[in-house]
Amino acid sequence: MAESKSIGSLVAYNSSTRITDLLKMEEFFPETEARMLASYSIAQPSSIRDSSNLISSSVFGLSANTLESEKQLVKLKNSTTPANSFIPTQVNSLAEVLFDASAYAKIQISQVSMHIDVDFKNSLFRQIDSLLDSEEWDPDDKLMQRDSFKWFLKAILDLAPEKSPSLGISNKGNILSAWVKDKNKLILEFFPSGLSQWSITTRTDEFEEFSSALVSVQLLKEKLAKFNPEFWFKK
Amino acid sequence: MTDINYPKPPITEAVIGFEFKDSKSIDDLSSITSKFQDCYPNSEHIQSIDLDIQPSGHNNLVNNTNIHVNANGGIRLSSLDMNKILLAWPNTLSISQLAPYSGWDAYFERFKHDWKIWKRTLGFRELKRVGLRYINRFDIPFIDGKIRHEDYINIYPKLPGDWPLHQYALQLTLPLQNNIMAQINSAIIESPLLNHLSIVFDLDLMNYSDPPLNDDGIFELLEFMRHQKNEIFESVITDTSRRLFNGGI
Repeated sequence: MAESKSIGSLVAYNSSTRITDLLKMEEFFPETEARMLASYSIAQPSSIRDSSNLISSSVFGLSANTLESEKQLVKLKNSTTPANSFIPTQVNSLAEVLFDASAYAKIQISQVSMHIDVDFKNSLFRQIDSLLDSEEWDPDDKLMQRDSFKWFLKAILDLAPEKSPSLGISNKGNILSAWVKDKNKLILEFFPSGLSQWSITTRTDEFEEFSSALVSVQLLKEKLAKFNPEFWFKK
Repeated sequence: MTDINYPKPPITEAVIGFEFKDSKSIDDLSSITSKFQDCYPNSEHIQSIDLDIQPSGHNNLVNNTNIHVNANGGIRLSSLDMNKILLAWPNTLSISQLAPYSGWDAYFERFKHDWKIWKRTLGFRELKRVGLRYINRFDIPFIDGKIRHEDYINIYPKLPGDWPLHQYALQLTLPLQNNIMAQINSAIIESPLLNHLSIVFDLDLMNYSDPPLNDDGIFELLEFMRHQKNEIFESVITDTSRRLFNGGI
């Protein structure tokens, strides 16, 4: 029988960084606006977490009624479901931090699983479990940045490799994905800003060639094309 | 209407939810953890927080902040792959299936299994409301740099003239048969795919009076709601969407 694994108490519907941002915005917003924005920060659903910027609050002064309408509009896009029923802020142990990171990554993958092969998805899950294993974790390791993971997923869906990459986390918290074949390597690092650095090392008996560049994830597929990425991506 | 099982269903989350007339303590709710440990190895205590921040407007200080913590809290159980979730609050229960969604039969069987364990642990409790919610996301590719969302969904805001529509969010409430209300939320969102735009189509059905008093009644109501849900969904999507869900473009 599997043992129940309790990872302690998590706090729902909160985001300390958002609230910090709110406090910084105090000088720009009168009281009512700040209160409305506080409710914006509550409950960001997994499926539409990144959309909160799409309907945004005006920085100009608005009447209380208009602000209420705007609040309702944002609520339309930010409803709570079991999948997004918590956003932990005050975590007490390494196990909780790592569980939260792992849960986030798995839910993000799950949300696009209709576009991913089951074996590929399972391989990513195994690597996430391994990468964020609390027993293997070095306290000096940097936790992955969520926006970096978001861009990694977008790139994976665009590049559509058959072979799943080996995953790592850089010392800045960026997701690293690597494909190695023979002595040839393709390594991609994903930055939270939406940039990706690709590094390619090809080796023969006579020489070793290295190329690297920083590009927008939007252009990654196009820029990699001349290096025949299928060499790494095909099973 | 029978279920159509699309190879690439747009469902990102399906939820069966109950609201009970009574409330349970956190100790009562905690007792379910061990009963569900086979299917949900991860358990977390969760709490809701109401925040009321009132900045002073001077000196970047918050002079009057009230934070109310819900004393009871709840329990969130999840599978190892995080795509099956059971969420228990003092007076609600939600059983959720995230993508990949493998069809109603599998989901409903899981619900019946969980419901049996739930009742055995906490006893039968009178229901206030029964809900069935499906959150869909249509990932629509840009073709020649353009997207015509009206090719994929039949519910959308219509503007006069040729004004391009960049964003929208809408909510509709429809009364259905058997004291059921359907709430539809739909909005354009950032797509998780490059060169795509996504539309969320969130269909939330709930009965608002005369909740069933026994299991047969609950199962029958959920089956009825599911048929209603399918009927609405199939009438809202287009053949272009169906091609998308069948794996085409």
